[in-house]
Amino acid sequence: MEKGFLTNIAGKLNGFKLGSPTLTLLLLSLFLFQSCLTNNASPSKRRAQQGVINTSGTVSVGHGRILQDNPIILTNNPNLQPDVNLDTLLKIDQDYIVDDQFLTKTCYNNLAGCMSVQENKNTPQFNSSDAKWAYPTNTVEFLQVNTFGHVSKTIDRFHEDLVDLHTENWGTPFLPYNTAIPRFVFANNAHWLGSSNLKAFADCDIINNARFDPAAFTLCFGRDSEYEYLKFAHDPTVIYHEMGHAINHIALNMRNTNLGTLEKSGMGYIFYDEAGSIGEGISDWLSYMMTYPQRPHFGEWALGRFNLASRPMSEDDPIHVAGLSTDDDGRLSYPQYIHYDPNQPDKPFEDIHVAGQIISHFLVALVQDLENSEYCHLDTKVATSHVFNILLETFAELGDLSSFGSDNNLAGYVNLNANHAAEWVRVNRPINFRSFSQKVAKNVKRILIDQNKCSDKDDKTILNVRAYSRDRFERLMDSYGLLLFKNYNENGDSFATGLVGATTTVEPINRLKTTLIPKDLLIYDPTANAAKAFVIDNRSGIKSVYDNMSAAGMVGSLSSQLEADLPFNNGNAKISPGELVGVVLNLYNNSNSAMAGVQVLANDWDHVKWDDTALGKPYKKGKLCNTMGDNFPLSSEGAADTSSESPPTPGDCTYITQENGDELNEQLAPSCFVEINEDNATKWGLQEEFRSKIALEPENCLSGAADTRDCFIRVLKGADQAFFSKIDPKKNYAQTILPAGGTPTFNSSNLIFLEVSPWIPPGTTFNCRFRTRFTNCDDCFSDNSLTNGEDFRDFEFSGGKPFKLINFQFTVID
Amino acid sequence: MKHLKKILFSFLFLAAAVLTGLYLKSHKNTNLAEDDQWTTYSKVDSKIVQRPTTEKELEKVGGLKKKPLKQQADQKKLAQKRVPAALAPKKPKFKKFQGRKVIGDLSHYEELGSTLKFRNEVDEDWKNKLSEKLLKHRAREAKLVIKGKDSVIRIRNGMARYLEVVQISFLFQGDESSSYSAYVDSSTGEVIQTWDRTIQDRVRKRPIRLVPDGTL
Repeated sequence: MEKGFLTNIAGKLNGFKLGSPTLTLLLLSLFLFQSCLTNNASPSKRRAQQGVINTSGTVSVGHGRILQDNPIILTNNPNLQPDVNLDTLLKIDQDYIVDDQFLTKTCYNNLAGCMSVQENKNTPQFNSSDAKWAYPTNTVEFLQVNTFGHVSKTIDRFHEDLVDLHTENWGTPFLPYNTAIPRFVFANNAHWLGSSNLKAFADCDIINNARFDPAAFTLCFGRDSEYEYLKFAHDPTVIYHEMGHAINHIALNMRNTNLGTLEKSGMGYIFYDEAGSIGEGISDWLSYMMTYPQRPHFGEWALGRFNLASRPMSEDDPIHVAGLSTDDDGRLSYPQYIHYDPNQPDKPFEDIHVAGQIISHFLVALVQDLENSEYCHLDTKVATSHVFNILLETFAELGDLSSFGSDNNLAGYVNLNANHAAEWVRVNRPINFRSFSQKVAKNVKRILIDQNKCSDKDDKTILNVRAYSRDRFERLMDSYGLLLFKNYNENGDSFATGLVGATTTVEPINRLKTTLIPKDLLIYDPTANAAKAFVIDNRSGIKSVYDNMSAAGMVGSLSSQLEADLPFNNGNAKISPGELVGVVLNLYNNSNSAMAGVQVLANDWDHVKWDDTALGKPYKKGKLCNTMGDNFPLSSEGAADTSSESPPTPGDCTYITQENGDELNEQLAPSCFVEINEDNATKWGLQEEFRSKIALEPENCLSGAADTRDCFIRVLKGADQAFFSKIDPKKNYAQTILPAGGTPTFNSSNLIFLEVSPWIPPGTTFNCRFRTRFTNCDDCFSDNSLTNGEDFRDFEFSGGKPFKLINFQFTVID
Repeated sequence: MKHLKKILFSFLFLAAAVLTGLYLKSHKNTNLAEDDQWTTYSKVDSKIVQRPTTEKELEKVGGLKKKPLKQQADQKKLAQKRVPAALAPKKPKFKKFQGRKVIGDLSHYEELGSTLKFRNEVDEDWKNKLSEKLLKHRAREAKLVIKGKDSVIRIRNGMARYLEVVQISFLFQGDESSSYSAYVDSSTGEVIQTWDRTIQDRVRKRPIRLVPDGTL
């Protein structure tokens, strides 16, 4: 009997309820008992209090020893000292590492060198001349072997499950469903980002941090800020979490790698958004999947012991506040718990790791549902593999930039089309709690329900004989507030086929906890004297945020018309010529339920009728449409004439572009336009018209002579969307974040950045027609005029119909 | 008749010249990424200086070339256990113009070159311009490593634009770094679009929060 085995059993028995004296006594007895056993079993390899002698003489070629779990779990001591001798935590049995002189792995499909480990960037890979991998635990060699062992284990699990999923679909004469896994995934090495080499640095010089870098394809594990010798790579759950990001990235881009696209999809594009949260939740869940037995808690050693930042994944974890439970009405539900940090429950925290806990809890609950004899009765390994495969299918489809979504679909099934898919994934239809939940539901149905994947009620070994109940699944989703969709959208989002064929409709009686709110209840704060927006234009604040976002690749370059040092930013709370200004709309939730995932879109869209289409693209002259839902501007204020638009044809206001402006007579327009004074009246017009009127040289426009459409006010690319995690009922965002009141503060995701031309005559008034929506919205994603609440098709997100339009007017003042 | 011959000859000469010009234009290789090297930029006394990227920096930004390694026995077994259902990859080929891949709205511009309007030109100094934009006014000390990976032409809004596909890495103190891939304007060095951004899992890191200067 091994020590690791017993401690794992103990960990499961105890379930972290460490306060229980009976359980603690039981564990202590077990620990003493197992120590006796292990000492007797191999006295030559273990010294009292010194642990296993982990040297090359004690292992076979290709083998070494690694920590089976993190030190807190292996000792079952939540107060473990940072200088614990890790040698005492090794099991005697050796682990297979690699038959090579270097820590370098060959992955499935003979991908030699798919992963390698080294200490850090300054040291080359170390060489074990006898290909043995046993080192004392206080050495950097051990740290690297430990990293390699756990990364390697995660890759093997990923590829084994992917091979099974691929074989189930493409290895049979007929496809059980239109899988998103490409047929040639292995031939094109799309299972490993096209044969890239993942490099893991086990001992990075970074503090309280670990990272995954998809551009360089590296992992980096740092150390604790206080205890230098407490390395993050000594905690396998942290390694699994970072590998979760890597696998998520590979899955999201599986179809893109398969086709060799240049761009890639990502999980999250700004500091806080829901895609980023989902990515963190999935990575936590990957740690659950990789630990044995599966443990619904992550990072007890590296994050939890000294940083109060470990994360639970089940409501029965004792770290949680009272009131949470695994009952349907006690789940960690969306959006109620989106700011809930179990380590500091009295301090709401808008953070992707915190919000991601809703996803990790839901996925653990789904596995437990599949294990439950009443519902599906699967073995834990089989259940986790099914859930993992559901996630792989979900991400392969959501991230597809080719727009097919499956080798068997037509183009346009997902993310509009190949020319604009990246914009859809980033801003127009990004991954959020709704789209993720809907795709998971579709894949649960396709993989588990339709194929009767459950076991015999009395015998777990008899597989594929009964179905997981759709009602049960919908109720589970609903208990997490994630039943945010009205149908499973099997027919996709294409213009041609998005409304053709049957879709599975969600049973309305299963939606008990999830609340869907009409979009019109998102408004400007109606309180007397409330501001329309907060303005940030002080130089140091704006500059530091811009620098951070620029280094992180979140924003594009500033216009060359602005001086890069932002000398005109004066902090006078006005929008002035030559500034880069951050604007936060003062949005208010006028409903009685919490709104979440509130997004403000400031990118270009189809709200202008062009007059000069005969001259060829790019079109420059046109008029604003007042058919977008806000009845603005009036005809007398310069709106386009729509009286002859029946039936709508390309170029008309009532015709929404099907190719995001690529087709003839169609072209997107910037959100912001300008008030133009004419002889006896004023009207709203395009910025190009104003440029022409004041005779400004095209070269002086913010985008230069090549594009004069946003000549005076340009929304900074990347900062052309703002995100608010949650707005409580009858409150604005600031009141939600600061329930006790005080001066509101905002992070970069809350801001729309406006570049203000230095050539604007002071006194000029602009109107930016922003599009807003939120995730738990009744009519932002579903077209309620259609049967079964079909989803809007992708092209409609180029227009105004799925959005609540918010007009933001301001006058530029020097 | 004599004049007609002259006119005909002149016309043929002009037509040949125009066709040659068009041919040369479409076949001129403007792909700058083919010869691009990794370059490190840093700010010294407010000036941007550049040098070839060192091996240690390359290690950090994933720029070292992979060495092919021998296959492992157990992986061989795993690979043999299941054979992919199909072996012939089918990747769509990019159309090329001037040695660059053409991306974007191609359907309305099938005859590349003849109808394309370009909004920019190629400037071989794009990389230095990019480094200037990213580093010049940065307060926090950083080294910047840039490598051109590919050169493309993107058609959007009826206009073609020369773009460079670039990997950008900021190296900070210790091993702190962040990287991303980007489309960069081949003329101005402006960052147009980014992807592959680093995911940082900083423990309990609170973001910069800005106090508004006022309201509107």
